[in-house]
Amino acid sequence: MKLVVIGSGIAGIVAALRARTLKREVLLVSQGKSATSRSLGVVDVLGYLNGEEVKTPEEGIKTLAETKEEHPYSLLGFKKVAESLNFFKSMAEKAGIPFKGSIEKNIHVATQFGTVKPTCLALEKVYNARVEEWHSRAVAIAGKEERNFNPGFVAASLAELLPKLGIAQPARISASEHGDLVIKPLKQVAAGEKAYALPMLGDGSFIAQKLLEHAVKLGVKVVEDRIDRARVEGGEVKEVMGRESYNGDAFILATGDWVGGGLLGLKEMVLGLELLRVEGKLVRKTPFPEKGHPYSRVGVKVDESLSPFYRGEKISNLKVAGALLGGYDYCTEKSGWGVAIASAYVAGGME
Amino acid sequence: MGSRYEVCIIGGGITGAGIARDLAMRGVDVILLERGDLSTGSTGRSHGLLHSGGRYVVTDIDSAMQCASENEILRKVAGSFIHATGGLFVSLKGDDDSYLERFLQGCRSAGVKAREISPEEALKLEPNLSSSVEAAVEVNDAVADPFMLTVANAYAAREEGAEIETYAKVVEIAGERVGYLQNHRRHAIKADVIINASGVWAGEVAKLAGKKIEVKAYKGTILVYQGRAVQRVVNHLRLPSQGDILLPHQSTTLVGTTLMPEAKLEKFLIEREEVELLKREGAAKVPLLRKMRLLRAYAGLRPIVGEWKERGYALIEDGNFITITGGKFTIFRLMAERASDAACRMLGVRARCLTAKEPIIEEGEDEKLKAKLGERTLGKLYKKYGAFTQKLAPYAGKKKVTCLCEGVSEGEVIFSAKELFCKNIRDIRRRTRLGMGFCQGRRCTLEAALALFSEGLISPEEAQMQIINSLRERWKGLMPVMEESLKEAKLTEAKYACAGNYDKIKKHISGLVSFL
Repeated sequence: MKLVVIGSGIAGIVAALRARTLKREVLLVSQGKSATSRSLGVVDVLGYLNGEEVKTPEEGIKTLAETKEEHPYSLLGFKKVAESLNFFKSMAEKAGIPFKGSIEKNIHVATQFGTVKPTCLALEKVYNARVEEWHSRAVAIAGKEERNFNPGFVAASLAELLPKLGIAQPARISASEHGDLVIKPLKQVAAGEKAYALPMLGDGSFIAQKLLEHAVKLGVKVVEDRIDRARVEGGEVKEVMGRESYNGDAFILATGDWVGGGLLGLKEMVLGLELLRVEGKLVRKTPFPEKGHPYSRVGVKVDESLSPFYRGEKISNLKVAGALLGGYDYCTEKSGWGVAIASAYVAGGME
Repeated sequence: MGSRYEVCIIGGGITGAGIARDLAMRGVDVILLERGDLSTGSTGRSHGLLHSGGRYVVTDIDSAMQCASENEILRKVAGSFIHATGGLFVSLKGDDDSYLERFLQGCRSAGVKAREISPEEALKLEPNLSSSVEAAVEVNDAVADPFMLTVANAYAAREEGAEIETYAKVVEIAGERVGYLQNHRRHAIKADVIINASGVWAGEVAKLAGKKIEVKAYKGTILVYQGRAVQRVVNHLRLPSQGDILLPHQSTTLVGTTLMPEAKLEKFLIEREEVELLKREGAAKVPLLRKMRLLRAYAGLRPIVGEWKERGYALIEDGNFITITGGKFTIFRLMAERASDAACRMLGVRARCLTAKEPIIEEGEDEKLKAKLGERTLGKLYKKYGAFTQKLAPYAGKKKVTCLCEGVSEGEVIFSAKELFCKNIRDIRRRTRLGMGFCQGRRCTLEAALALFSEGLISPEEAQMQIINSLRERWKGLMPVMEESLKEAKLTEAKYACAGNYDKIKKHISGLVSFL
């Protein structure tokens, strides 16, 4: 049974890995830069709901399942989400980049913006640098200054911010190369160095790369192409086309939202699949409203098996995974990689 | 900072700054109070066109003559801040073909240099023009950067001893006393003469002084496209209408403008129909615009005093209170001269106006700078900073690129912060073009804040507030063209909300504090 996965962001890669571990023949079609490649490389499962921080991702997801039908976590159910994260962790370990963390609680990581964000799973060195560990310690923000990183700024910003957040209060936090916890940008931590890592914009690229290499080692075939149309017959996708044509028995569309190019304006770009729409204004007047913008919830409409609708008909051999899905807002919920991994796991399992 | 001045100017747009310079050059003791950053009123929202005068030759010959004469003067005294692009007036199939003759006649009467050329020649000069051009006339339009020209005037004024205060909002005027708020603190000064150069707010400022002046506001919207579709200004050869003008501005093409009465002086909105009208009118003259990326739209208010027809300026003297408003960007120097003459008459100052003769900022060539940066980089800097370029020399070592889209170096950022009346990242953007490229600040806002922090100019909390305010302002520009900009919006959210968590952290960051 041949599966064609379109998109090589985190969702596409995890879908390919899942299908491959179930012994399916997998072809991954990749067109290049994705949102994943720009990301911090931490797995946000669920940080906030309705502008409020969740107590735990587990609790947040179970609440969602009870209230919102449209959210991907509601469609998938807590059990599958938890399974998918365990799958991710085992794949990451095998790929040589072990992740730590659990769906039972969130951790908080410091950022190059001098801010703090909740997340769930992270690379070991990033996980060990979590803010929860800072209590009463001498924290040193270290490393070389870059265009978008200044240790002094991060240290001073966090010194102001941490007392207001109540997560932990370090004994001291400064820009320095010495301390109980020495934290520097992931890429600046040398192999074997006893330092912890600050997740940086773009780390997602390195993680995706390692996972993709592992997928190839497992037998996933990867081609470079940009899919912009598909042939549908009898309620099934027969082939997808870019420069070349690719046929298969099953397809997964993981082309992302506007960043990846899966969406342009209010249109899905390969098949023109039906979208979850929003009424009224697409955006709020300020860029970062706590509850997000209406347009963020725009995405492809799917049923519980993640199959989308084309000209009124459900396409049973096509699944959608990742940011192309509608009904959620990863920027304000902090749920990006969580939804991507969970939907990709289910889509790749062709359940 | 003393508390007694001969003249207090209220309003730091191009006219106010021009008056500050004019008076300071005559030895008058001046303070200028601007409630925001320089040129953040109507000046900053104009397209920066220095009219040849052609636009007005048929309907308002006085304005045409003023524009023609001021255009020539400004090229002399502000040459380094002006791009002498030249201009074309073109008519398209379907336009009134009797207008050409009236236009040429009007140019002759008004002294506006005009040369009729064939459509083929026009297309050779501007290959992106529509092939349906029927008639074309070459004129001397030019383009200036309204921000930079205002800053240049203020800088020159300061060199001559004027005091320039930004983020200083006037809240009280009583006789000679002017009270203003700055940094949450109340200040008061006394001035023999008060000049109300607050543009569209002239009525509101006059009210503070117990005077009544009626100023009507007319909104004009401008579209900004990424890329230079034309090398010179392109005007529509017809009776003045909406959407007549296209012009090149740095790395963009501007299309303007609309004319709609506007009741609100703050928080006015751009209607989608205005955007569609300008898209249509722009593409009719230059079809290539349909394929170009629409970056943002912005609107400004024209102050019009008295009955609306075409804009003349108003100079109203009432005791020690002089109001100057109306007019247009092109004739700012003339307006400033008239207002300064009026003030000098009141003060008994005999010195004459020098602004038609003296260059605003002295030009000079720094050989060491040329050697350090190379001719090409120097040329690029000159296009932005004009005669200020040589003043960049002490900062030339800071070569790290802060804004990737526009190629703005850290040195430019620090220079602007220290010397060009900047109090935050938004002010820096107006001088350096940081954040004005296709990413609209997404890739450089954090980075600019880090550069200022690194230099010890702002505290981390100020940096955070500036990041948020800077992005908020950029977002306002994206709003009217949001349908085309969802990718850019999502990239911005992904960086600052998803990764930076600013949507949740912002409530922990206390109010704006300026750093100078």
